[in-house]
Amino acid sequence: MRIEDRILFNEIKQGNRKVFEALFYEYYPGLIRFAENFVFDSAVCEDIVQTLFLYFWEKAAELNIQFSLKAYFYQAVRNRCLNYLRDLQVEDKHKVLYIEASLDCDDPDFFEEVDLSREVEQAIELLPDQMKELFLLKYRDGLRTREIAELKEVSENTVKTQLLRAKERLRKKLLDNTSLLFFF
Amino acid sequence: MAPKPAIDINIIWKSVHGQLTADEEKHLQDWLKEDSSHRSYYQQVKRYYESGSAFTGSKSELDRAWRSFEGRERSAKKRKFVQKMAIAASIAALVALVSSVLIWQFQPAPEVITKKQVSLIKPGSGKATLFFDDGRTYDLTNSGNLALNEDGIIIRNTENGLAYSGGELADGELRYNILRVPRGGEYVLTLPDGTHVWMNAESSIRYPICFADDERTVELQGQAYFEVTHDGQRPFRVWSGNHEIRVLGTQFDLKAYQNDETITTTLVQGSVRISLKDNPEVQETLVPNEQCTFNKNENILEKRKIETLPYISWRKGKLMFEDEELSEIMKTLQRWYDCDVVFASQRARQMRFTGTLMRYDDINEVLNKIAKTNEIKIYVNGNSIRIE
Repeated sequence: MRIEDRILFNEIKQGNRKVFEALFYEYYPGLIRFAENFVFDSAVCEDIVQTLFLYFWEKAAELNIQFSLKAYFYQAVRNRCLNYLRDLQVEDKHKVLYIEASLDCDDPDFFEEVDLSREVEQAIELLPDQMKELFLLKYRDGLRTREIAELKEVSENTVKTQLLRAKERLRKKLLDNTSLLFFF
Repeated sequence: MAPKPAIDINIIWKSVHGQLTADEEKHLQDWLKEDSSHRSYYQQVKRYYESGSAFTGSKSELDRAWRSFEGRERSAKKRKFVQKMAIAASIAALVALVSSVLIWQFQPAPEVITKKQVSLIKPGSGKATLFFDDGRTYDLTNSGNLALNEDGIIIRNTENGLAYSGGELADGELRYNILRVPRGGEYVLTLPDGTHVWMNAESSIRYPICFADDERTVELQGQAYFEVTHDGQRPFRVWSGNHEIRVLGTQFDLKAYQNDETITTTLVQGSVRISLKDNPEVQETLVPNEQCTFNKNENILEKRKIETLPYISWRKGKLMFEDEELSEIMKTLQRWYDCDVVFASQRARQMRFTGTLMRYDDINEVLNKIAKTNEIKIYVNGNSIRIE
């Protein structure tokens, strides 16, 4: 865990309510948007995210958080969403919901543990070169927008715009090609 | 072998984007039939793709979320406490029955908190306004009397409501009246053919003061119970926007509030046919104890078997709710008690409630009953109700 996260998490374990409230405000909107990609119903999403925060607050002492708080929150929300889908008997065999959700998440540290399916890799291959490169730096190598900008010697805004366009193209590709995509 | 009920999200997606094969369509339909939670998930996916997220992430929304979180936290604690006490009670009951009486005292009391000042909220009563198309208006109550003679048509307001009788249609020209019942009102109307209409709060009806020879047509916004006089020559039609009910002689309840997503027709007696103006192929015929719901967003009719009593009991001074969301219940109370309702928690909004309330009771009694069955707090202040 990063040092900042370690300090924050330690405060939570000691019952520091101010820190908890700050974390809630910090992560809540992103987590709701993330959850909506699975659940599509903001009321249910709020229920899922709030339940998680309650669990996090009450069980902090017993939690073993490996990577970062952010990764923990996003993974936990994802798992809770997937359980919700399982109860509804909805499957996401090709992890399409998951990819969509990741694309919508502004800084997905947690993303690196996922292997992209062959279909998605192919869709990425079809992106224009520069877009593809930036996209992979961000989503495969987990670099931050600022780091990519420094590395490629372009402005941070350019990186953001390119990434946004890449997401749009990819999403369109994934949606348009569903029949192709799902019957490999 | 029966198909597996599970469905892959891509089938839902393709359906939303209109590119399903016949097989997939069948798979989807099977899955949708399986459970109402499946149907609502499907609707949510559709809505999300059409109009995007309802969550803005604004400061005020986050503040609301935080408050709602804290409320959830409190009720979780309370629940744990009650659970513990319940376990204690079951052990104690083995030892002595008296103990469980003590435990009861630890149960949280129903929480309706009324500020010291007198609540301004009163149950509804008989009141309405009558509008003529020439601009005249009359305020009506059950005590006020009014007697008008419009070209031989007698219009009388008595303690039994407003009634039309007599007269003949002069040169085929229909003249209309509108009866408007405000929030916190109710009224009984007797149309020129003898049809009785019980109007609920916040409802309006437009009708000719004398019906034509070949049909009887009225327009309703809001809720009313109709007891239609049989006349095989002149079908009786009720319009609510795009939604038409056509009957010969029957009894039914129609709930068609403009700000509701649905129009609900509940048939008690006889038969009715429901159709849509812009889509004549879509129609349903109801027999007694059937209900038809028209969803305005999706433009579809859905029919089901029901017990009619909960839907028509308002006319008999009761409000019966069966597994109904609190947000819907409060909508009904808002109309009848003419008060404002604010929900501070999304969770409370979606709580479901079954029970019977007395329509003419003081609002506090009504709210107490609701608070007793759920883990919510209800605050009454002046004319407004806040639920947390």
